[in-house]
Amino acid sequence: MSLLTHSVDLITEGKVPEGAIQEINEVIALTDRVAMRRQARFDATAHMCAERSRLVTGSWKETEGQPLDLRRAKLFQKIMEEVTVSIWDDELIVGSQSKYLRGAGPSIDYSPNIAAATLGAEKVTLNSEVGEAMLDESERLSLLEDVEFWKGRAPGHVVAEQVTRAIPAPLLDMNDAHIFSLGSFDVPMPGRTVNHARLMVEGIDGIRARIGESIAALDFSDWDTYRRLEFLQAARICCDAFATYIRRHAELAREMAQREQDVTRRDELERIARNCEWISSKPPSTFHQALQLVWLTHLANDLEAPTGGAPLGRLDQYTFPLYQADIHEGRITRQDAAELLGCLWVKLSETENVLSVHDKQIGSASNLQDVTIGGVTKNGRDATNDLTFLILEVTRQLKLTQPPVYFRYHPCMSEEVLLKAIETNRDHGGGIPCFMNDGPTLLKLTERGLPLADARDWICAGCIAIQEPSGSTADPGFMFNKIKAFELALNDGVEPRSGLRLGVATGDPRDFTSFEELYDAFITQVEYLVGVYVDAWRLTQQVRREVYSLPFGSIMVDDCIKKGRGILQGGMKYPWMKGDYADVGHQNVADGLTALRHLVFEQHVLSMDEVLTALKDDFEGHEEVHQLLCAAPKYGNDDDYADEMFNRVTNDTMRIMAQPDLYGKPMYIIRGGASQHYWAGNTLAALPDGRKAWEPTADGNLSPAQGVDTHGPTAVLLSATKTNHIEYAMTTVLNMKVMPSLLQSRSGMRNLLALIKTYFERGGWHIQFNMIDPEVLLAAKADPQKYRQLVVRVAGYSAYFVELSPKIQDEIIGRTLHAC
Amino acid sequence: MGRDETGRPSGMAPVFNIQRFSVQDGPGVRTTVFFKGCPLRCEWCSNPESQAAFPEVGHNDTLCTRCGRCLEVCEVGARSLAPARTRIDRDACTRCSKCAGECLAGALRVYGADFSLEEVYREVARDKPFYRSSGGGVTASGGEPLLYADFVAALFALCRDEGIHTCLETCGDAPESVWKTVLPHTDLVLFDLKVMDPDEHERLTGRSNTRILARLALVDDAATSLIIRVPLIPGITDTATNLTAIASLASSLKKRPEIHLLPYHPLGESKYHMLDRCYPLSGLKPQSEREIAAMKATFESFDLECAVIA
Repeated sequence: MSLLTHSVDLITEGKVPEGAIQEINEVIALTDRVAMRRQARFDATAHMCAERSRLVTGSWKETEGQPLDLRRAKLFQKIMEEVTVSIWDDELIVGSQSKYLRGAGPSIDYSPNIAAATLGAEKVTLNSEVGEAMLDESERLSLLEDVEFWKGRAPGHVVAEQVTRAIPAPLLDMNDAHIFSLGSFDVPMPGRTVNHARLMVEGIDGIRARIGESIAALDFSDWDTYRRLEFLQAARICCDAFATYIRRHAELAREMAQREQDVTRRDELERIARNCEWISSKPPSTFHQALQLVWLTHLANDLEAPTGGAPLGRLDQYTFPLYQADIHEGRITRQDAAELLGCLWVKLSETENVLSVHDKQIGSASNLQDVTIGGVTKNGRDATNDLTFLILEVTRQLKLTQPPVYFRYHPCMSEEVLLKAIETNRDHGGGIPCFMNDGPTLLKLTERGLPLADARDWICAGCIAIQEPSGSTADPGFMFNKIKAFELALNDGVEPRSGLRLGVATGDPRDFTSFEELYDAFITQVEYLVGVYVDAWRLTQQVRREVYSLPFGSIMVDDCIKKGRGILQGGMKYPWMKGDYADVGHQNVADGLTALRHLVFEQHVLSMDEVLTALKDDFEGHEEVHQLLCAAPKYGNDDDYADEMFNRVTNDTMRIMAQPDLYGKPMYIIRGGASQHYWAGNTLAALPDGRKAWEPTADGNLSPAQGVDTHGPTAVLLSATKTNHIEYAMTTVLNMKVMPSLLQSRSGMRNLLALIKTYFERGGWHIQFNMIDPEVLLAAKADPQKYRQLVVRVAGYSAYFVELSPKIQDEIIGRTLHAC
Repeated sequence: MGRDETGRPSGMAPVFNIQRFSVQDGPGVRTTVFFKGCPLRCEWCSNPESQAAFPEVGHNDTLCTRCGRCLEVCEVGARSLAPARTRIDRDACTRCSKCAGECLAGALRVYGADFSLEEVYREVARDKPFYRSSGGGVTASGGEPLLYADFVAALFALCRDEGIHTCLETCGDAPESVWKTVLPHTDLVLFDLKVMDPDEHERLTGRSNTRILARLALVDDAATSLIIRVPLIPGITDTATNLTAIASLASSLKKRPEIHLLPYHPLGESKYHMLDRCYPLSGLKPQSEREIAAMKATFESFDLECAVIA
């Protein structure tokens, strides 16, 4: 420990002391222990686990007839008290999602549909689309029994039934046509935020005390008080149950320590026991305890309602005071801290999620446990600190897909931290960290009504949903595929795939004499579909709040305890910070409209009939039409003709979408599921932008369609910043690929930094770079065993390349390699 | 419209590519203007389409659908479409480029078109925001930009007025008067040195290097930054004798310029096929990283800064 005396200087609020960065650059995050745990994760088979389902089904039978919040609390209590707890070899951060190292159970108590579909499928699927998971026969039988029990009883079933019955439009046909995805009927609120910062300061005792105070302050003068009491009693049960869960880890560690022969490991186990004992009531007193509490809270949050995707928030900010104290007091070195973070990173990469049918369609393969770093403090100063650098270095060395790291950029950051982030991006290879701009985010959040200090604390949740971590939580709504509206406009309201009239009769486009007639038909379809959408989504939230409750998740977010209401019941400080749409498709619509305007209405090179016939035949026998459509101007090439159309489509459609939510705010439009372009594409016939039938659509919402950006990255960035996306959207997503060879030198990294800076100066919001050599990808495709750890980024999140389907692999290989 | 001595409308120059986000032709993010036409005929040239000053049609057989539209418009029957490999008979071809206009698959492409100063500048100015944030700018390359000295000088003057950094990438082989037109508007010269032995130089590039070396001295005296670029062609330019001679010359210059080594890559080969030419270096293997490090060390032993641009 005496070694420390030469460098206790820390980077705080952007001030970089001599030697600190060098010391961080020299840490070994991949210690023998971390390397061993990391390998164990790769060697472990993923399991679908029936234990949680058995416990919750048992609990639900025991609490028949009791009030909803209480039943949900007792269900959570049962999990906390009885779920298997494990400590694996050499771990320093303990706790597992299931009895398996890699295993998860379905949210059967919200909807048994996912479990039923998975059990009925040939292969059990967890996170990875093509990776197979194990399911023991006895567990299969147990799950089948539980599925039967929940049919009709599950809140998701009630929501689906009520909503589809009340909405006159053919919602289920629209779902099948991928106009909307009603996936929310099957999953409880994913991406639930936890106010980790508060937990660091007050501990579980603090939460319990606040619940007590809230109960004491109740006066029974209004009709709702009893509901609040019921919620707060449920909250108290959850609080105690969580403490029990943590203590069970302490007990297990102590038992293991008694049996342990190895003296070093015995000390470690005893430390784990002391840590867990301490944090089961008090706020953490060390960095190690802080990370342990973050992890167990994350697990408990997931066990209450498994969906994947809870964010960890600003880990470099809320654990910094404890880290700082540990370093100053000589309790740990930066090397120790790097190993602890490495242990947490491995734990995060062990988590699994039982996928819904919808997840499988979109090729989802990430748990989206977002860590947000950098940015500004609540008083607006550069928030970069020692941990910002350390988190980047650990991420760089471990090369794991979890956690995805979101790097908040603002103009006062030092070049050191920016180049460190780029170096991490280059060496990680899989688009981690991605870069987010504070500028438009703060503008948008304050416009929406957040106080500036809270806005400055923003984090990413899910696929780039912007959240305030103390009092809001993501709620992704449904997906809305506006390309289907375009397709309906081209077919007089009839979906070509099914022959069903799912849209409005807007006339045969062959009769249109001007481009504006076509454009109006498209807008009419959007207006109709959005009308259906907002009714369905508003009603979904209303039914859900009557039949479902998440008391543990609620006590982890402000102001549920104060208000005596859960997160689904409007108890959050900022309930309108959620996510009402996952928006897909303006690139393909805009490019299609541009091609028609140019070739049919202006140049008269093609007739509408020629185009529509070619689309119907998927361009078979119409190669010339296809080539002309492909050669028409496209968004992403710094060409005003195409970019103006992109801007027009983006803003006109989002203006229609921004209907008031249930709190009176404009609906929150995010770009949802990271690979939703597969979902969007696989019901779409050929399009006038030259895309062939059933192929994926463009990804993100600012990335040009695959292969159409022929003028390099600067042209893409200029096109993207011509769009006034900030007016209605709550995020944008721009994915790019860069050859890592361009970034070997510091001057090469500076060039990338110049791209980021210029993009962000011009109002860009998010950008992420994949750094992959095509040769490596081809080799990985041919010999996946050899490349099991190869990370690749698909739109807003990461996946292991070899776990992706060949279709997705091909797209990643084929996408334009900028500057190649 | 008036014509200059090459028979081209005055104020125009043949350009075969304007490449944005060029990051290896000078500092920062740059736009490189590739002029068409070159006095040298280096056998390792990776831009064979840059050599002739007139437009040429290249054919990419992978993209060709063998639809036959090009055959129909060719008045001299120069185009042929064998299943294995298509051809343009370059002796018969009148360079009318009609075939390329008919090609919907994008398999036929015309290399080179006359650009006005305004057109080139408009394209260059697009990425101004990126030049500012990266310290980049415009690079005139080719071919040999000094064949169009008035054009380049005017382009550079315009760029400099707008705060855009100017860089000339050249083989050096031009009359002194031409150099004097361009140099005052140039911030940085990337000067290629290939082979030091004059006879070898003539054998490999078609011209002696006497004039080139004289111009290097001229740049050394000018108020312009200088970087010497050496293409490392295995067994041809990358011999110890040749590299030592280049290093020795560079270290004798007043500017003691930085050296950029450009390792050999075979990416140009396919373009030879597209132009119905034989690739003279077929089968040549790129150097290993170790070999390149040793070459770099040669320059560093002369106390010269040296970077490998890969």
